[in-house]
Amino acid sequence: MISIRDISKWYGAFHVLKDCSTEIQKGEVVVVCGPSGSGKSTLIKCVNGLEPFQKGEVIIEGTSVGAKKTNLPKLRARVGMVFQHFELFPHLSVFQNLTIAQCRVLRRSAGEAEEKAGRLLDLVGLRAHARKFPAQLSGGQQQRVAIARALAIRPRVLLLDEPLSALDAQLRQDMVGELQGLRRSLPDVAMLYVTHDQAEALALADRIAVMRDARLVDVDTADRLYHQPPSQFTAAFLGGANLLPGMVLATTPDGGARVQIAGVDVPVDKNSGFDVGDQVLLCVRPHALELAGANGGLSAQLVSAQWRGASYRLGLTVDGDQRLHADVPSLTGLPAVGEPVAVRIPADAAVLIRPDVEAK
Amino acid sequence: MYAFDWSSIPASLPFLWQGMLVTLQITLVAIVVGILLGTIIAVVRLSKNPILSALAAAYVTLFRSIPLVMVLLWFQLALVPPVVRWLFPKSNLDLNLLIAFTAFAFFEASYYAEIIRTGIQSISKGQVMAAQALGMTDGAVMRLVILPQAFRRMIPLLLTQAIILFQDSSLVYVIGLADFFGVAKNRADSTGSQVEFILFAGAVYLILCLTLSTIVRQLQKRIVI
Repeated sequence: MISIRDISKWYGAFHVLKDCSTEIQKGEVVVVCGPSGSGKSTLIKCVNGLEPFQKGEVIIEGTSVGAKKTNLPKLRARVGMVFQHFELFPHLSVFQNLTIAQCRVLRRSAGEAEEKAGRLLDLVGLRAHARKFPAQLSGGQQQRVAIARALAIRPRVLLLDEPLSALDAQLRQDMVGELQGLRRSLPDVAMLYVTHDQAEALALADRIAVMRDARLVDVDTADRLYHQPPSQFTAAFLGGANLLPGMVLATTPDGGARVQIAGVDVPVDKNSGFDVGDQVLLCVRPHALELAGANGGLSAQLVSAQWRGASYRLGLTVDGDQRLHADVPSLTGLPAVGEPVAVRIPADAAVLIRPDVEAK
Repeated sequence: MYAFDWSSIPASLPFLWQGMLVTLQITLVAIVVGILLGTIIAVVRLSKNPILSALAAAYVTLFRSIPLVMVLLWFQLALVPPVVRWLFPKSNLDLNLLIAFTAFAFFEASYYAEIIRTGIQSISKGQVMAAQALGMTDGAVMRLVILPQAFRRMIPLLLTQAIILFQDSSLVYVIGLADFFGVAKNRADSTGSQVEFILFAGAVYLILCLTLSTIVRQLQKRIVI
């Protein structure tokens, strides 16, 4: 439905997009996730031609966005877009925000547009606010109106550019739930969603495209990118993995391996094609680490403990400088900050990554 | 000490009212035509066509660099009469009023164009993108999204310019047109009560302008966009 092929955009020698490619199928949600300034917003704006690009091609349902003969307004009328700062029209009421494109672009009758706007306001729970102006609404309400406005044109494609980043943390969580519901109600719409928040990405994506320094470095299902990250960057960015440098000591007949980490022999259930002697990064999520009192794993020192409500995040050092994070439900039975502690890495929770896979 | 004699003023009020109507007509025509023409010039100046943009910029620079009195005299001596004679050879148009209308409209358009250009540029790029993303053409974006917001923001500046225009309309005496000030001056000369008429005219201008200024201030407080 959407095909992004080798898109590049630059200003002089500075590339804002470099050979970005991905496909989004009907009913699929692809989340472009990456740190601030990596080029995510520029990429999504290239998809509906709001930003021009110098190289590559974007095809939406067979129409090339960058082609000179393409009627962009007509194409955009099939592509809904939600912006980071909502961008509701402040001089129009909520209702008018939802009917303006229907009447003036799609030439629907006033009755049809109003009926559609009413149904969408019901969907986002804002029927009672129809006559208000955007400035009279809260941030969450404004974002709901922005989503309803994008849906009012009955889009085949929905582009969402950091739609929740202007909201506070609690509201963001609520809205993620609402977006999941919205997604279920639009089974035929292809969605491209941009965010820097990996939790949003994991919650909403069928596939995640990780963006770094103007490139889409890894594109895969959310589950695979999280559990078997293909690169050091993706492992660290999605879920904040611990990455411990080590060397493969042996491979096992059942597809596993033994890795030397900080002088300790650590078994790993799944070897991703590494040979004995290979330098690797052992990737393990903070919640998977087990703290085993004073013995039985990597020797570490507990250097910090932050209470996060439902859990504690512990800061640990191994070999004096390598920093690890572990999430534990309680501090009961653990040594005090500054004391030594043993860290056990469950063999089924560790993944091996080649260090030089990291994107340049 | 000077002994004021206000007795001539009540008898002159009907004449002064006629003069005020001329002043208001000039002001109103210049505001309406000036804003319409100014909007076109502002949009053209912001267009991507460099030639059209340069022409619009030249228009603005030309009229903003020349004193209004000189513009009035140009229109009287060189521009309006030949055009009217060519277009309407047998008409009995009030030529002086037409000269005032056109000179003020064209002159004010250059000032309104700059106010409107600034207003258009004050609308965020995000608003433009949001409108484009809904499938609006450039014209629709300007008409439905940018200009309505820009005009709301510009209302105080446009009204301030209207107050200046109202005051400047007194310059039409140079083309022999009797506006409010012109009538006051004529009555002053014919009755000999120059000081009283000038003071009275000044007081009328002061009251009207203060009233308009108060309205502008109230609008500035109420406009939230």
